[in-house]
Formats: sequence, C-alpha cells, structure tokens
Amino acid sequence: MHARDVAGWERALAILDIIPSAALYKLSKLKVLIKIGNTTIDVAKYARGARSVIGSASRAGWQFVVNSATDNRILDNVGTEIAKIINNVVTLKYAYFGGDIVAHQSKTTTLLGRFDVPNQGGTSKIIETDLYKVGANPGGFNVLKDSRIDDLINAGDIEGAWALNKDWLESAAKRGDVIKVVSDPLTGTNVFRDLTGVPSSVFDNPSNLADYLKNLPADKVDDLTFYGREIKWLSEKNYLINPSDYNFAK
Amino acid sequence: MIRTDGFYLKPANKYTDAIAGNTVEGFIHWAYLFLDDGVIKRCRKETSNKDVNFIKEDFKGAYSGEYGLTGDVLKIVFDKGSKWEYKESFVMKSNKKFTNDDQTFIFHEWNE
Repeated sequence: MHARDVAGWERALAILDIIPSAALYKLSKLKVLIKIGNTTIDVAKYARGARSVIGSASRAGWQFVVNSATDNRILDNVGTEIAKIINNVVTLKYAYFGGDIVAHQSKTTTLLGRFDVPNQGGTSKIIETDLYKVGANPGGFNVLKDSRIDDLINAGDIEGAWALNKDWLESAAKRGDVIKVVSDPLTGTNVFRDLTGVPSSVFDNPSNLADYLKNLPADKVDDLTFYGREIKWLSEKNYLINPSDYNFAK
Repeated sequence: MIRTDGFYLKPANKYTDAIAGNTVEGFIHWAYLFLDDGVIKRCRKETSNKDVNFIKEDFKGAYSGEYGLTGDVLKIVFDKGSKWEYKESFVMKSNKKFTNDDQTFIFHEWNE
C-alpha cells in the first residue's frame, strides 16, 4: 500500500505528534485504530521517535508502505526505500561506513561524520532523507544543520562555526544521546586535512586515535577536519568509539 | 649536505572539509627548517591558493625535532621517545631536494 492508501493514517500520526504526552497516554488507552485495506493500525502505539520520523517523511513528501501494523517502509520519490520502522525501531538505509543506522528507541541518536566524501557517504546522506532533527529527537536522529553556521562560514569565521558545532555536540553528550559515527574514524583523511607528522599507528584502533588526539601536537590542531575536532572533543571527555557498533561510549 | 640557509617545502595539499553542509577549502603547506645543531623545525601555513612563503620569524617557537644525515639518507624524528614518536626517512637527491615514496621537499632560500 502506498501513500494514497494511508493518507488518513498519516494525518492521524501528524495529530498525535502534537498531542501532549499525558493526553497521549489517555489516547493510547482508548486506541486509535485506522483500517488500511486488511491491516488495522493502532497509531497510538507508535513510539515518539517513529512518529517523529513519519512526520518528517510526510513533510518531505516521501511515500509510505504499510506491510503490516508493525512493518512500515518509507520510500523516496523514485520508490527507493530510505527507512523502515519495524516494531517501532527506526532504521535508516545507509550504504556506507557501518551500514544501516538503527535509532535508539528512547534516546536521541546523534550522527557524526564527514559531510560528503565521494564513495564514502557522510552526514549529507542522512540530511538528504530529511528524516532527522537538529537537537533532541528521542527515538530518532540528530544531525548538525544550523543556518548560523552557514552565516559564520560565509563570513570566514571558522572558529565561530566550530564553537556552535561544539555546543551542539556538548548538548548531545549532556542528554546522554547515542553518538554514532557514519564515517570511518580510522581513515586518516577523515580525521585530518593533512597527515604530515601523524604516525600511521594512530589509526590502528580507536584507543590509539583517542590517545593521540588527547595529546595532539599544537601545530596539528588546525589540520583536523571538523569531524576530527568532534572526535578529539569526545576523546578529551573520555569517550571511545566501540568498533562493534560504531557508537561512542564512556 | 642539508642546507640551513632557507627552508624545505613540500607541495601544497589541497583539502576540502565541511561543517553543517558548508564546504571549506584551502591549501596546507608544511615546511622544514634544519639547524646546524641537528634540530629540525616544522611550520604549517594555510592559504587559499598554492602560493606561500615562509620567513625566519615563522619558525620561532615552531615544533622541534631532530635530524641526522648519513650519506644521502636523511632521518628525522619528532616527539622522540614518546608513544607518538614520528619518524621519517628520505633520500637526498641533491642539497635542494629530498624525497621518499610519499613526499618530496624542495629547498627555498629566504625571501624576506
């Protein structure tokens, strides 16, 4: 079933998106059942993150496929699947480092990476889906996008832009977000604009990278990419990338 | 023989980076200065094009290491003895050029 079949369902979800949580609790007891063909969906059972992603998809004009009450897909305008919601877990299709990106069900999943590297993806691929927010987004994704940074970069104020980037990252850390990388942090050129003077063993494992960044020679700081700065900042707060799930953890 | 009356420069490295969807580009230049006492200093500059010049003042307070020349083999080391010791080895092609598989440095006299 495609978008035209689920228009009512989509509107119901949009309404739920703005209902305060207490009211939603009552609503969930009442059940809001929407019948689509042979499938009945209790929209009140959708978790906040799933509703947020569906709302974003609706605003972006993407299509929905309802395979069952617990299996929904989001397709772009040429019919390619860009996300799925299975049992309330949102998964973004991502064909690059780390593969598909699964959102934490109750926490915000903050995504870090290069912006756009040929054949390596980056956060631009998530931004293209429009299935994210900037800042807190429990059950969904948080990616940095800020018009103030646009203005600062246009004015040549790199450090001002980084200050906003750092504030965004610090907020994610304070919220206890899941912080996930979507670009390989052990690829030197993802971390440094220039690798002069960087021992190759730095990229042997996440521990080495974190230790080197914490002890980075002063004249190498300006060689960091913005992604490298983010990794350095997190390393200094004793976060370390877990290679099994590509999340930062303390 | 390594020259100490100027600096050695490797080709500019063009980079492209981005923040929140805004692209930032530039050229990064690294230069080495060799002193008579076995000390090497490295200095970095960033420009919007390939042109760059270094002056003596740029190397004051610059990051220091050590170097040694045996025959035509030039060995340099930064952060010697530390966990993150960085070593490089080059072949002197002339007193104006040294190279290895990854990098080539060319000598430039002071121009100030």
